[in-house]
Amino acid sequence: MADDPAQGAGAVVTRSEPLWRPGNSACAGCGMSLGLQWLDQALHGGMLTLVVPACCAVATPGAFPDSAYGVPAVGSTFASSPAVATGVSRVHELNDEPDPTICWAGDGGTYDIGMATLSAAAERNEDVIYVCYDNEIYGNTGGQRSSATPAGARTTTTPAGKPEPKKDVMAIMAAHGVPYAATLSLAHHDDFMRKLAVAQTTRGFRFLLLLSPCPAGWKSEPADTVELSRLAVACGVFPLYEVFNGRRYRINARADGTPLEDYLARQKRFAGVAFDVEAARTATKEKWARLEALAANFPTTDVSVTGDAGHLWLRVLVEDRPSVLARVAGQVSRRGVNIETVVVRHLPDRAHTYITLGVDADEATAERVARGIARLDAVVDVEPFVGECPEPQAEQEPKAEMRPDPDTPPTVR
Amino acid sequence: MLAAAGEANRVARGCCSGVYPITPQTEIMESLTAYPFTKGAVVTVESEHSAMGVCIGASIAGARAYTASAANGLLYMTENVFAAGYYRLPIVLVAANRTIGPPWNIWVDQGDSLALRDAAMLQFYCESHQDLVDTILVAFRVAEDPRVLLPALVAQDGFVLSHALMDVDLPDQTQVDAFLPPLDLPHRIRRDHPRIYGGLTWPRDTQRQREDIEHAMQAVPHVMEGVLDEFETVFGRRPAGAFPAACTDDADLVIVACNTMARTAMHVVEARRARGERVGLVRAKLFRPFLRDELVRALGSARRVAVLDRNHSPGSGGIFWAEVVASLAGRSDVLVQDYIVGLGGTDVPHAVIDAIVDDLAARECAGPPVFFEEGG
Ligand SMILES: Cc1ncc(C[n+]2csc(CCOP(=O)(O)OP(=O)(O)O)c2C)c(N)n1
Ligand code: SF4
Ligand SMILES: [Mg+2]
Repeated sequence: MADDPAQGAGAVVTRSEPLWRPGNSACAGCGMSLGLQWLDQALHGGMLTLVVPACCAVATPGAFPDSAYGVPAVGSTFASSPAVATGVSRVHELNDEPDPTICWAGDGGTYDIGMATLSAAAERNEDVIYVCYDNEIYGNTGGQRSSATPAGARTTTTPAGKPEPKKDVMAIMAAHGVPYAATLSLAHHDDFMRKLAVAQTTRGFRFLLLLSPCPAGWKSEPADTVELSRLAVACGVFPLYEVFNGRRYRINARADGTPLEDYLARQKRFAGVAFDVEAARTATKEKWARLEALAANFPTTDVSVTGDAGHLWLRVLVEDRPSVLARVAGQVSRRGVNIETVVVRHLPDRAHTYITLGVDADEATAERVARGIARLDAVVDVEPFVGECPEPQAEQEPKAEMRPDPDTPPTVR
Repeated sequence: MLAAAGEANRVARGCCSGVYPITPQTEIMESLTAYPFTKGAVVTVESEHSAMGVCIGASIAGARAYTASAANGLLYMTENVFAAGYYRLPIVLVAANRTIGPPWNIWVDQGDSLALRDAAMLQFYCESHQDLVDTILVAFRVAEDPRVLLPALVAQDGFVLSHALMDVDLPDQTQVDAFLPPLDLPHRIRRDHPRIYGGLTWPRDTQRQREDIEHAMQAVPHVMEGVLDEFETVFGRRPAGAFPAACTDDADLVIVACNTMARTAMHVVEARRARGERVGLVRAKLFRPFLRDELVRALGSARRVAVLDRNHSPGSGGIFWAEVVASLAGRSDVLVQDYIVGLGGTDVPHAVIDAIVDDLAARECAGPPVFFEEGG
């Protein structure tokens, strides 16, 4: 861990290379490949360390000595990406290097072989962003089933269609109480960028699930990748939602009545198998009923104070519009609570802001205030907690690594 | 003496490690987690596979990394041990040798670490606590040398050594810092120079990479000489090299043994020497790389060699024996006999080794490996 002046510990390094360069050998229309390009956009040129287990994302960047990755990328063993990322991120922290550690793993590495390792890293709340690009198949080994493969889909190991339904990995990750978990779609660019922005400004384990159409495995047209992503959300099979601290569920887009058949018909993996569309429709409905129940009244559902030692904070995620700060502050002063600190941080998507308020109140009052704030229409989420300020402190120099976007430093007011 | 393994790592400024409990290694991780490091982290993971995974991530990011395991834990870790070698990461792994199960048996047997024989990793076998502490420090230095850059395993007998008490000279931090400067891994993650680690390689590049690893192994004897010299300068004592030998100059019969069995064998040698018998001992300390020429030199004039193997490769025999035979290829004047002893923690007392010496002395030619127990 010798200090290397060239490495500039503590400094934000911006890069000129794209994260995912042309010349990679991903199939035409590969959702994973598009996802990497979107990830690059969401990082706004910031440096990062990628950890990629055995999967298409390690097979398609090219062979030694070439690589399509323009950032440091560790190709880990299949089950190990969360463990390897743990080591990387711990050392980055010890060395005061701000680069986020991001796992980019397939569904096989996530839902199946890496599940224990993933669960453990989430339980330890490692400072890692974990993205599962879910193509619902073992793509790299030629298209075998995984536990992410949906019922009815034909794969090389389920020639008559998979009998079992898809595993609900989001429910599993939410049950870990990770600070942030969200689903991502390649047809919802703004939503993708906002969620990546929230992920980058949150500390601890962040789990992101990207539905990643795979023309080779889904037997779909390469040109249909974005359309399939859109249809999956529109017909309800892939709900877009996010979960804060495993407790507060927020639905980002609802099904619009598009028939399930529109989604299925564009994928030959569902053709020629005995597939019970009615059963699939019922399963989707049930899934939505559960989700709606969890998300009812978001974000006022559960604003109980978490944490046990330190100061009381209200961390409010808002849409960046005029006068939002005044309205949030108004909710606090209405209840006679004194605001001691305000830290405002704009997210890299430039459309959202975190307002963190240090308040002098008891927990019950803080919860009432939080509920009031949650009712404001520009508020995305509010989290009352006891602990350290998650933002750069007013007293000290803002630390560079707390700033995902060097152009919009945190402002302390 | 597991605490010494934990302590030796602490003084070596083990900067990040993943650890997972298994008897008889558990005290090492307990001692590692007991006190905070000045600059470091110990991550209590969910498996040995992840323990090595964390070490890999930490090491690629530039930290010194260390972990410990035994028996099924080492087997569970295997995939990542191989990976650590192929990434060329100087991670130190301490093994408290234990029988592989099921059926479950917590006692000593070297089959666990020897199952990692073909990983790109150095392997040291220690006979005492001092040997263990010193060897861990030596292992870091050799492993981290830019001419080597490979992980290193440092083995000790489970319970027989790991849970025994001995006097140890634990070096102080200033000495260790003088001996072990901060790691500067040449190929660590660099933000200004992005690389991919563990991507795809074509066959020819893979063969070349393996050949590079062989060259690194070949550099070990030379590098180790220098490291031992420096160790002596800093600490005032010199740890043993690859094949420490005793009484072999004029010996007709030599015992080859490792770990604590070598200490018992030494008593046998001393007793027989007192009776005027020309018996000697070679302790096999460095197993990977296996320095065949150094072994032959250590065996001296011996015409009969008894190899004591506390391990068993089914269908082949003892693993050390196979190495000794290969080292003596073409030497029809030397009779090498394999004795498989002490499996699953069976005691190997003085009497057993005595009986082995008698058995070998009476042989006209070598036979297949024999399973040898007390009472013949
Ligand atoms: C321990 C281990 N078992 C099996 C494999 C073979 N293997 C490599 S990639 C892969 C499937 C990966 O599937 P997924 O994680 O969904 O990624 P995708 O290929 O779909 O991108 C398998 C089975 C391996 N590399 N390691
Ligand atoms: S098999 Fe699927 S995931 Fe893999 S590169 Fe091709 S389209 Fe992408
Ligand atoms: Mg997949």
